[in-house]
Amino acid sequence: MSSKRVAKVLGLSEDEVGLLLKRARAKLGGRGLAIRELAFLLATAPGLRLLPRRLREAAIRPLVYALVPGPTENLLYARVSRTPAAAERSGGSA
Amino acid sequence: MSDAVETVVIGSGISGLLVARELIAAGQEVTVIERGRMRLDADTIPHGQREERTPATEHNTETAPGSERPWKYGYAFGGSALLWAGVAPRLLPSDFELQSRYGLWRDWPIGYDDLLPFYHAAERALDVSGGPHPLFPGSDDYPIPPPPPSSADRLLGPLLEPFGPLPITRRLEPEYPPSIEAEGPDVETAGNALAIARELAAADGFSVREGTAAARLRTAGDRVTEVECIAADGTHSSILARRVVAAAHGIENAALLLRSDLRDGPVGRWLGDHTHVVLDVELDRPMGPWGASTRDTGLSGTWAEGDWRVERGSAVVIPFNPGLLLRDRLVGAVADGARGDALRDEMTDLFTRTAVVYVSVEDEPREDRFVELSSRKDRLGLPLTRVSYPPDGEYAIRGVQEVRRGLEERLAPLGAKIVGNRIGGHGGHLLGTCFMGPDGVVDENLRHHRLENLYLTGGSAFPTYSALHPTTTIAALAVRLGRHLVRDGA
Repeated sequence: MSSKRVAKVLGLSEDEVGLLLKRARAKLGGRGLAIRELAFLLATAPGLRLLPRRLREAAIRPLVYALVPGPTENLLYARVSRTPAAAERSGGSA
Repeated sequence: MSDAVETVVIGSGISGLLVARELIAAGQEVTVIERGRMRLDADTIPHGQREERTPATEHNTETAPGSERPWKYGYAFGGSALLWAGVAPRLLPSDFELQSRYGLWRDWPIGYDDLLPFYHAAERALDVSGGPHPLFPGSDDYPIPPPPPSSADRLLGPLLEPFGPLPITRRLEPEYPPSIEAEGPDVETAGNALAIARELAAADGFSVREGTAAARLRTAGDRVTEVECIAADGTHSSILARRVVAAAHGIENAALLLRSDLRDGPVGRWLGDHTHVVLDVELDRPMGPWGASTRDTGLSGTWAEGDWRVERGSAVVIPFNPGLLLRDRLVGAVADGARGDALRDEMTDLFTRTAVVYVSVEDEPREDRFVELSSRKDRLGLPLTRVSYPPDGEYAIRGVQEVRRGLEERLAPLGAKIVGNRIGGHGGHLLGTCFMGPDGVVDENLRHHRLENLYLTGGSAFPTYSALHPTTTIAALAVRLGRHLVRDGA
């Protein structure tokens, strides 16, 4: 259920967030990830918007950093196509 | 107990390995002393775990007040090459002639043309991927074809001439970053150094004293006679040596001489590093498709060369293919209430329209940047090395400012606006401290001015620093030294 909420907030499909959560869980362990998910869900719950921004950020950051840590996850999240046609790759200098 | 050895090489990084490789190929005997452990499979170990923690690998520097800088180097077989990002350009021809051309500081005692055959050899040894670039004469003979231009190169390159392929040792991939489904570590560059190490380890005449610190050099008259060593378990020993090559980095080479009370010339002075900044440049259009073969593929020399070097630092600009790191923007947007498809669209737009460019800027050689021995000692009983490195000077700062100003101007046809400015990864280029030249510590053949059988190579030999990454030049100097030692029987 929580992955569904995370997906909805971040604009990801359930499959996508499932993949990102799986990668994060492999690094952090189940407990470490669960704590981050809980903080994220609390900070993004509609009723808690009155929390100071600084505190919201502090609660949101750990899960976002775990899910989208670097370039590979960026590409998935930003819906960027990676590879131009092979023919374009044969060039030398740019 | 003492052993007699033909050549002792101190340090097993790119320098030490390439000097040893030349000597071994000529049938000579080499013993390498390395503080870290010999793990020939180190490229399969995550970066943070490549140094085995022992008293010999405890980093032994302390920082003078106002000199905070994260000096990066590795104590493991393969040395700092195990931490290397693989960016492998040469220096510019003018970098060797700053005094002659611009009246700045000093010339190198050798020029670009002198080093060119050794650049070729080093690039072959390190499997550098590269191709013709207007900045580097004779850059048409790389062992591996150049990386294809990424989307960022294709868009920015024509506006940032002279622009061409960035020489790099990272393995080129069909797709970079790798697919999210792919398992295993990121593209690995340490394999290039370790391939040389594996070759040496199997060779006759090659041996390694691993887990051992070279504590001091003992001399008699104008020769080094032995290297005093301390192993990680505290055991003292010495190696009698016909010839010694100190092939560590700018901090360690100087520290070895200072511990040995060999203070001829400006030992430890003129420590150098580069100034790195990373700029996020928002454009008015997307850059896709995102295709890239590795982390960095293009190099701009727009701000690299000109008479203006009398007043501001040379700079090179490298588009960073992974692009904008989204996580901070994402945290901010979620905290501000963005949600769902609108949030994702916002991030996609931001990511595809933001070029991230890495800028490396030359800093001036300064006498107030130096290493000396501390009164405190490490766990082996050796003095810590105290590093004084005041922050970037006006020369480098003006160089950064000019890139910031000029980049928006040059990229104006793309609606460019710099929206982010971060300090890059300082502390990885440890240069100077035992520089080559008549007023330096070693001569043009990297031989100590007084001790006829002591050679110092690596970044410590650089008289000036350029804006460009030093490793290929370090490697070329090592090949050149190795061949000199073989040829002259020095």
